[in-house]
Amino acid sequence: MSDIILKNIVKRFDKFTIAVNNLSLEIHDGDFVTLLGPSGCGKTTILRMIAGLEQPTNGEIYIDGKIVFSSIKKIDVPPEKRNVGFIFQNYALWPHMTVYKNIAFGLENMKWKRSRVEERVKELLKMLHLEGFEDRYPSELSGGQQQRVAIARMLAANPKILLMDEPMSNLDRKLRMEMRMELKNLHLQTHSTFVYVTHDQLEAMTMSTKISLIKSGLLQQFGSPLEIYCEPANIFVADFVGSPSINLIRFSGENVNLDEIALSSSEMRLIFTPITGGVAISKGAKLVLGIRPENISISNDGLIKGKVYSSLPSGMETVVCIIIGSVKLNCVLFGRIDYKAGKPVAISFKDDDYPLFDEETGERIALGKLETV
Amino acid sequence: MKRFILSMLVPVCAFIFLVVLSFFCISVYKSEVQKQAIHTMEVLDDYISKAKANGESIDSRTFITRLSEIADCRVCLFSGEGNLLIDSDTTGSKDPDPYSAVNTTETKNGVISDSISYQDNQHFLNEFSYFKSDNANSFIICASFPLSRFNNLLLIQKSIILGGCILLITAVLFYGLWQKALSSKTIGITKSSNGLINKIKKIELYANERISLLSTVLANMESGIILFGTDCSILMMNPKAQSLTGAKSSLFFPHRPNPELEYPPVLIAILKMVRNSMSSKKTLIQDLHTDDGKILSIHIDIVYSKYIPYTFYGTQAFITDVTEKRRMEKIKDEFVSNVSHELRTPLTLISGFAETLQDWRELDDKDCERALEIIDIESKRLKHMISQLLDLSHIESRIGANNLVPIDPIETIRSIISTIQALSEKRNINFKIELASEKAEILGDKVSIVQIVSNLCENAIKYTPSGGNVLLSVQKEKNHLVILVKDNGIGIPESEIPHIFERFYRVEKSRNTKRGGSGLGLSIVKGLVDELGGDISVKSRLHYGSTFTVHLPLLCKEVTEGKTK
Repeated sequence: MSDIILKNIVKRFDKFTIAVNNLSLEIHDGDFVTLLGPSGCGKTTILRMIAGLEQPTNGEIYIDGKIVFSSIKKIDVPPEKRNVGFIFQNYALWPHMTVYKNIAFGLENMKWKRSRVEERVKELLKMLHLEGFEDRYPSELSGGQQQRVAIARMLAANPKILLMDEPMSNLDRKLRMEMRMELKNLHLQTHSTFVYVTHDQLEAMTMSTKISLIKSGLLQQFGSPLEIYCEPANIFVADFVGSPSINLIRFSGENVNLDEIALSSSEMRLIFTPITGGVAISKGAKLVLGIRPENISISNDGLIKGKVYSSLPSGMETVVCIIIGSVKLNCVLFGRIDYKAGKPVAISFKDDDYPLFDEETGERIALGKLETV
Repeated sequence: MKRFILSMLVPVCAFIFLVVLSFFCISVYKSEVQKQAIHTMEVLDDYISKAKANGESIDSRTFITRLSEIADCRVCLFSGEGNLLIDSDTTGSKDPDPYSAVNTTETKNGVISDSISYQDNQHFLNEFSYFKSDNANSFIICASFPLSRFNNLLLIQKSIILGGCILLITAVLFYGLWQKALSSKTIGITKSSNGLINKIKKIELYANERISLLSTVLANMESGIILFGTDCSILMMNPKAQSLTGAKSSLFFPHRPNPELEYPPVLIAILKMVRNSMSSKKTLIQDLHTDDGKILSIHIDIVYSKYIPYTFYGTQAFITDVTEKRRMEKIKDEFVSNVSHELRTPLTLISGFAETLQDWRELDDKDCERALEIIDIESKRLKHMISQLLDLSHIESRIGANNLVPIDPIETIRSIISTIQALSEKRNINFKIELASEKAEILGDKVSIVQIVSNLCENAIKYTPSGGNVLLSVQKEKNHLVILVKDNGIGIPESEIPHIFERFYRVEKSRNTKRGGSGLGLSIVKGLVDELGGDISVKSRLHYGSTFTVHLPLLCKEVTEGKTK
């Protein structure tokens, strides 16, 4: 029952800067929710508001069914009474305390019995593979170990909700990969609700059960990683998630036959059959089609002819950039393949659901199947 | 705002210029008058000093009146302390107060000073001059010069200032009002544009819904529909039509040169029919045989606009896959001729022998008996055939779910074994029976069970040459009753197996004419088994015999108990 509910949260820093704009979010018990967005979009502010370190200008926050903040009822429960754990970007460990002391400090402050504190700290040290480091000082630890100490300290009081603000930004790539697995495992072990802030879409996609994508204080989409990946709500979401990023091709569209849409550009002509419901568009409407790089295959029977612009093999996969007229398409081919630049190739699109956006509003208007003409 | 300020700059400058000009005019006028006054004062001073030298008394009314006459203006004489001593003007007007203009020390120092006083709607320039009399008394002499135009000038100046101010205020006020009206107008515009946006969104949603609805209906149609325009171009085609004609979606791409080059052959044939129909303006119905052996029924209609009467809109083609229907029709036709033939054969015999019997006196008893016997056999055969036909058409109405009761099928089968055995003996066939010893219960009716078993057994016996073997086995298997009829007779060709349960189907007409039969037996069995909720399967090899297996669901104990309760 550790739900977090945000209702119409607005945060203004002064009259003109709105950091968070009318955000409503429901985070369910046991979820691993990532607040994802580019730098300065307000995600850390949201996390700080949940923790109680920042006051919203308007709106209500419920944790565990209890109201912890309301601008109308003038309620503001202080952070220490919200039963949430918080990890800062720079860990904020006490440099003058040993690892043991760092973890035990909060518990001792809460007047736990000495024996109970010892037991709990031992348990945490074991859980986070920190045995044998009890007597070291933070400066004598590596970045990953420091982070684990910070996590142990956060977990000490057994909070049901854990809030993390880019905890991995200071780690190197390999360590980050390891910590991702550790953190995901920790989520399964503790059954707590995680709220995690990051600007790294890969971290968000791999770890979370749900992602809320935020752009300049406005919630763009809230859903599971695959939903975000396969059914992006708008061009921003489609472009933000996925690496290499989605190919966005501009077309002018026209309704043909029943509900099909003929997409034409100077480079290619496609028939789009919507599967999410018919869409009426004006003749010559400006549309943008999103094609994920892995959905493009290079085959001899493809109807669209292009040239290899560059080929980047990495062993596991090869990212090939193909130039068709003035359009560049990135495609990912799995396996050890390499192409010479300038080689003429034909491409076709795999059988998948492709998102179609309105160029003017950026909103997705339909998902559908593609057929090359 | 900027433009307003800029445009206001010119009139404001002009206004300020006018005000400054008016002040300048006044000062010029004043200085002119002053010059005159000073001149006059000098004349007076000279006169006074002359008079003093002559020993005339200065502070006498006559002297002052004379001075006034010389200067042609009002002259007053004050004491050194500023008290009015003598005034040339006797009308009693207010005296010009010297201290309002000059202070005493300055006056005492002999400075000539002036001031402007206002009296009786008239401005005066007062010139003061100080001099000492012989007996150490000091006097101040004042001459008041009327400023005749000063009033007018002041009036002009005032009206300039007032008018300018009024103009400025009106301009600002007007600008304010104008701005307000403008802003309210823009609010109105944004409001109405918001309303428009909402309206467009609603229309969009509605259009999407309608498209989805029509597409769903058209996509779920059993037959294909193609709508052709007046120029024979394809306006619309539902997915069924696409799959039946093999047309790709790419056909719909607009503005393509010679789209007909991409048409599949079926579509080209349809297009030809459409052209015919369009030129004759008549409905056209035709079957089309495709290359892959399908038969498509094409129905082409002329379409008139629903909205503009008598306007030719195009043609629409309905495409229905009738391969199966045509095959069934063919079978039915064959059956009808077959059945009529089968019915006629015994009837011919019966009527023939009946005719013979009419002249029975010429026949001996043996022949009569033979004729009667044949009539009997043939009428029985006729009866059997007709009852089979009736059975077939009545299976569904005879056994409804309500007429089913729990029965013991094994017991029922046992009761008809003797009949089948008799038949097999007649044909010299080795008939073996394996019946389960335990009791079984199924939901059904006895007549159906009898018919199923006897039909299968009769068939087996019929299609097995003499000396062959036929096995009937009835066993319980899990929750099913399995009836198995196996023979080593002539078998069924593999290609015919899928069709043998069809109503009017007969394997090789030639082999049936010898053995008789209506081609209905197996379809009756199939119908009955279906009604009892079971299934029938067949394994067969030509010349090696066939095995028919019927599975019927056994009645579970709990169900019966539940029912009795």
